[in-house]
Amino acid sequence: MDNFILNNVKLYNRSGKFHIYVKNGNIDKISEEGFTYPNINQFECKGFILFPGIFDVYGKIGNPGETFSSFFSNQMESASAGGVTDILYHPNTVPFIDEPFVVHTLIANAKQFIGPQVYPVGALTKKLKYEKISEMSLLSRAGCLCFGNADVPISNYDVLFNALKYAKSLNLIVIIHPRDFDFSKGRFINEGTKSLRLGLLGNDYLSETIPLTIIIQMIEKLNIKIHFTKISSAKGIYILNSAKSKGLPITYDVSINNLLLNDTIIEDFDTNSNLIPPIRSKNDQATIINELIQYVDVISSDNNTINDEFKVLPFVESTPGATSFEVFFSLLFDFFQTNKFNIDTLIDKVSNNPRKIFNIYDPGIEENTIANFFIFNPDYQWNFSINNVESIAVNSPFKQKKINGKVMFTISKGRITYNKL
Amino acid sequence: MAKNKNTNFISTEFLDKREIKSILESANEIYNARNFSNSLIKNCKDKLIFNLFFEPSTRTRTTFEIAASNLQAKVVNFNIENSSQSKGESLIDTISNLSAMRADCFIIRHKMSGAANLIAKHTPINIGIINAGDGSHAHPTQALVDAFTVSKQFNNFSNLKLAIVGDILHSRVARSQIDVFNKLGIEDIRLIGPETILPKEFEKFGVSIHRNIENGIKDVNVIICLRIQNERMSSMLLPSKKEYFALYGLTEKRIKYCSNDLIVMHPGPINRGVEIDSAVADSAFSMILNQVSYGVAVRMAIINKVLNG
Repeated sequence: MDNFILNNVKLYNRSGKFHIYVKNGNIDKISEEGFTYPNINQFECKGFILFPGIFDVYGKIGNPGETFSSFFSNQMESASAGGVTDILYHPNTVPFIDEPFVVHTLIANAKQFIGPQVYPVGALTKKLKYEKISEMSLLSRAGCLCFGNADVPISNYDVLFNALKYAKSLNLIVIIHPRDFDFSKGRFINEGTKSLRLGLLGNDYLSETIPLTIIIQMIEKLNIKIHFTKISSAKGIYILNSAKSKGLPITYDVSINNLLLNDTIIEDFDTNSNLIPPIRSKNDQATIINELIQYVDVISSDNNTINDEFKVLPFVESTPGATSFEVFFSLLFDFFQTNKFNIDTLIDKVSNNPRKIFNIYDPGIEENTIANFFIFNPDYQWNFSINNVESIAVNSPFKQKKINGKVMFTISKGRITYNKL
Repeated sequence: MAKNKNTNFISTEFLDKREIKSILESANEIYNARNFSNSLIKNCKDKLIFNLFFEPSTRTRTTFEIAASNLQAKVVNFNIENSSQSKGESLIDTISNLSAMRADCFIIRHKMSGAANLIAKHTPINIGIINAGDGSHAHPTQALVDAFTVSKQFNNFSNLKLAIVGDILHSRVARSQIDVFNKLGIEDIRLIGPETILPKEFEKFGVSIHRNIENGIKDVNVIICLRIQNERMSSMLLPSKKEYFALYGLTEKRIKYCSNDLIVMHPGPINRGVEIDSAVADSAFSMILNQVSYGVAVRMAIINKVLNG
């Protein structure tokens, strides 16, 4: 565990400048006066802001079977460079997270790398095929925090219903990306003028709202708590808000891509815009923004770095996904400031709410708690390119964009995971 | 030489009305010429052109080959079945290798929308790209052939009523035609078909949508029939060819609703008894074979433009 002092740092929720002494990985003292402890690393943080660590509910790092590869460790570094201290690790990996030994291997191997705390999400069904429910009890005991379908399309609602019943009987938390198999097959661009112009099969919002409607009826019947991840359409938002208003135990997140982008940006078949779910229309984006503060519980990074060889292909043959860990908070901070939204609300949506939803201890920024935070320079301007990030590849609709603000330092569970101070 | 819209021919979206008219005028000169002018041939002579057809084609590929031969260019027909692509080589690696052979121009047909755009992005700036049809995206040369065909029959475009009937959703030709005919000033462009292969959103492209063929073709001067492309249908969008013909097939009875100066076009290959009745396809209204003849001249004009800017 690390010992150091941060000088003249701002706290996101308090006025003034502070000096923070971290001793053995814990916040020992927060003071407006400087410390005179000798022989301890001191970092000047004038103009920088300290925020609680990001809990990313949807960001892909790599495969359990690749934990010794440079890709896995690299994406752990990239997450840390984005201020992520905790992350849900979804089961659409090789191998799938549907066997206890995979969970044990993942947890053991993740600990060997510097990076965020990794929380495995067990597969609701074996190999996410919707044929057989998984051994949720054994997987939970092995260390799965919750259970989900990653973003694998739902192909059998009967099996899903049984999986939810089973999860409910074990009092497990479920996270689902609502994506219908038939309505999403081969469709990676929003259905609309853009898809027609480009001659690409459009992904209708029905691919999201059909499973949402069905699963909400399952929730009504079972009273099971479900978090819906990566909601993208206006209709989907309305369906969820209506269900929440009725008091159903529902929470949901939107990804940064659907919050900040719409399909008008897709030019020249740019495969960096090939994402799951697709970037939707201006109207969909406007609805997400309108409902963001009151209804959207969480914002996810949806990081999924793809090697270039899988992106330099015709649009439909390219692999969906975008690199986003390292621009996630910068883009959101800029967006919240531009729209005059309260930054506390941003922290709720990337840090506090995820911890509440998934029952993870929230250390806060208090004395005598474990250090789990990041430091942000709001004035740092940079270009989102491969030379300026830790990530091994940059495939993103934000690629080459000028970015305002940068994470400078991250400490996760008392261990420094990124330091550019 | 900086790569600009003149050295690639990916989509008609990059052409304005003046440029389209210029190509049609060049094609007309070529079509009417008994001997091709020395300057035209001189500029293309011995240029190395690769016909890269990653998808089967008869008319387009052959007319491009004849066009290039007429220009005394050297033509290499890329055989996909015997290529490294069939051994797993990536599209871009194949293109890089062919580029290294000092190609001057790639003519590309590919089943994936955007393939020509992708290749253009990864090709040296001195190599021209002609899109000979990519997925459902664009088929700019065919649209210009069709515009040329219309121009040979009518003095101006502005007063024409034009209908496109068929599988618009999966048609690269229709997308390019809509763009070209809009730019040439046809104000009354009608698309005809059921919702499953003709989404209402096409209205945003400056056309009207008709579900009933008799209403849709009333008083039109030009009908373009599109093939019902079974291989592009990812799901059952139509109950049967028989039902389609009953609802939308172009028959002698139906063309009586049209203007007296009607011409009927089809980019081919035609499915007789599905989108068009033989009696119409072989009638005096039909321009289907004329389109093929004009195709060589138009493609010569386009190759010349791409090679010489």
